[in-house]
Amino acid sequence: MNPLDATTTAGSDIDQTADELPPRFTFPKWTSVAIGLFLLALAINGLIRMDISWERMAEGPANIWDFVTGAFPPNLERAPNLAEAMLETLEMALIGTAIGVVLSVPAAVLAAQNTTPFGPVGVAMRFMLTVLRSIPELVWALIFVMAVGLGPLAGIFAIAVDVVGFAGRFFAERIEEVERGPIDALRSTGATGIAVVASAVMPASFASFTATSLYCLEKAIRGATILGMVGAGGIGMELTPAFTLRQFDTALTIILMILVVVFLAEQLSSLVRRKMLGSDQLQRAV
Amino acid sequence: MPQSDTTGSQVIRVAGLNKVYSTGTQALKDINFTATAGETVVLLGANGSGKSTLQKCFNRLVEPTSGTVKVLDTDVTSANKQQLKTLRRQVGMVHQRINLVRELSVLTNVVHGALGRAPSPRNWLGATAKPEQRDEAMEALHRVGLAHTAGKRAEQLSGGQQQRVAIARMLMQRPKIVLADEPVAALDPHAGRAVMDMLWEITEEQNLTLVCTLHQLELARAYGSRIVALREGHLDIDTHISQLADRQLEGLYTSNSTEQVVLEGAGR
Ligand SMILES: Nc1ncnc2c1ncn2[C@@H]1O[C@H](COP(=O)(O)OP(=O)(O)OP(=O)(O)O)[C@@H](O)[C@H]1O
Ligand SMILES: [Mg+2]
Repeated sequence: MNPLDATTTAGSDIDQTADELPPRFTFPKWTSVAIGLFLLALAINGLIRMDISWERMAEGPANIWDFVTGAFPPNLERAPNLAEAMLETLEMALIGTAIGVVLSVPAAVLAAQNTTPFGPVGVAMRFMLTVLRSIPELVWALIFVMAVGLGPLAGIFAIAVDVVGFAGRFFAERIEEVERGPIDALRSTGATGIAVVASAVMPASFASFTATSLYCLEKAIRGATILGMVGAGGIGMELTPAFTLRQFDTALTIILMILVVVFLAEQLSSLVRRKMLGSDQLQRAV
Repeated sequence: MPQSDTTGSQVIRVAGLNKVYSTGTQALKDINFTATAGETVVLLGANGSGKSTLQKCFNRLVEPTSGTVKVLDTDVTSANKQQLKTLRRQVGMVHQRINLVRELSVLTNVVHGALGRAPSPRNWLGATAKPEQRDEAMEALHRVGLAHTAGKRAEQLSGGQQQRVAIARMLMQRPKIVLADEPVAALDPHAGRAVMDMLWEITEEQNLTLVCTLHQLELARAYGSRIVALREGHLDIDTHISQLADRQLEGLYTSNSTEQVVLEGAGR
């Protein structure tokens, strides 16, 4: 019998299990416990395998101090060149995101369970998006550098693919959340599937698509700054040599530039989002 | 407006219709029902008795589990995609939850009513729609007294105004059959009467078949002639309003299920 019955005060209708007060605490399922133990074991194993060298760790602060003293003041000598590389980074991010977002919309319509024209197509599309997403952007950059050579074009492709993997999934999830009602209303006029998607699904998803796209742009700018490290264009191309040649003052200039640009991109995207949401949504509700 | 030339013939024929939702709820049990062209049917029944489900079976927004549904000589249950679209084009629907596309303008929402018969991508938006459709949509909005709101976003309208826009969208469809699911539930008594008058007037003048769900018994008395009532998925009553005693009507809402009584009591 249920051990909780002993605590039930209304002894007369014990049979009515549906009316019982749920217990305050239930033991986690054994699967949750197993997963927790597995993760813990993995972490401990990792610490053991890492074979931490304490001498090298002790040198860390001194090295960082070297970097800090070497980095100040930031070297602005090459600022014009760096600014140009930064501009290239921004352009790469913008173009890559634009391509990615445009491709994401049809990909998401095919992937979302409520708009896919044919079940298996949806499954295949979702699988493809997962693959695109699971391969890191830097790996895509390596692949495209191999395919189209060094330079920003490889970076643009890498960003576009990364954006499709990310935005495609989020767009599809948004599409799946679209209310049934307006969709049914348009279906009941005899409109075609494409018309229903264009006139009911898209308008309802537009705000969310824009927000996601802005976030993608932000993420792409952040990502684009390091793509150059593998030769895919942008400011990253300057960062690796600055470190290997121990030009920390130049490195700091680059890092500061990245900081400013990423910060500005975030501000801009939240500004646009604010404008889009309208005054109603942003009024204090609680 | 195209006049229906099928007066007197049966435009809706339902036989042995059952609907079991995937959740296991049996919403409709062995429904037999016919309606002739130009007829006006008021559909009554308590919450959850299956009215909306029945109406959605007529144009297969809900897939019937078994039984036959024939609407305007189309076998709805076996129709292919194209036949279904052709049928849906002729069956206007005013939905219980209004179901406007909230983010779009009122005009666009009304233009959408024409998507079945004028499927040009230009009609996806009111701004790009063809002049004929724009004019017709304005006319429909005039008819429901909301021409001045054409440029507003649908979500900025009050519930009752949205309901009238939904009716305008239905008019835009130029249907032969109108399925109205509680078209006045969101309206104040005066506006409710105005909308009912409008629906009855339009269906009369164009000889449309109307199946209208109502919850207000006074309205059923005032407007209804043929009354069809559902009780827990069964077709319980199908008769002329004059044959019905008030007690019978009230009885529809007091089932044996205690839950129902409690719910109805709280609603008063
Ligand atoms: N999409 C759905 N999935 C599962 N069950 C459903 C669905 N829609 C309706 N039902 C169930 O089918 C039954 C009939 O519902 P329906 O909406 O047809 O009732 P109704 O007569 O229109 O009620 P109301 O007066 O509240 O509008 C209810 O028990 C409901 O819970
Ligand atoms: Mg209903």
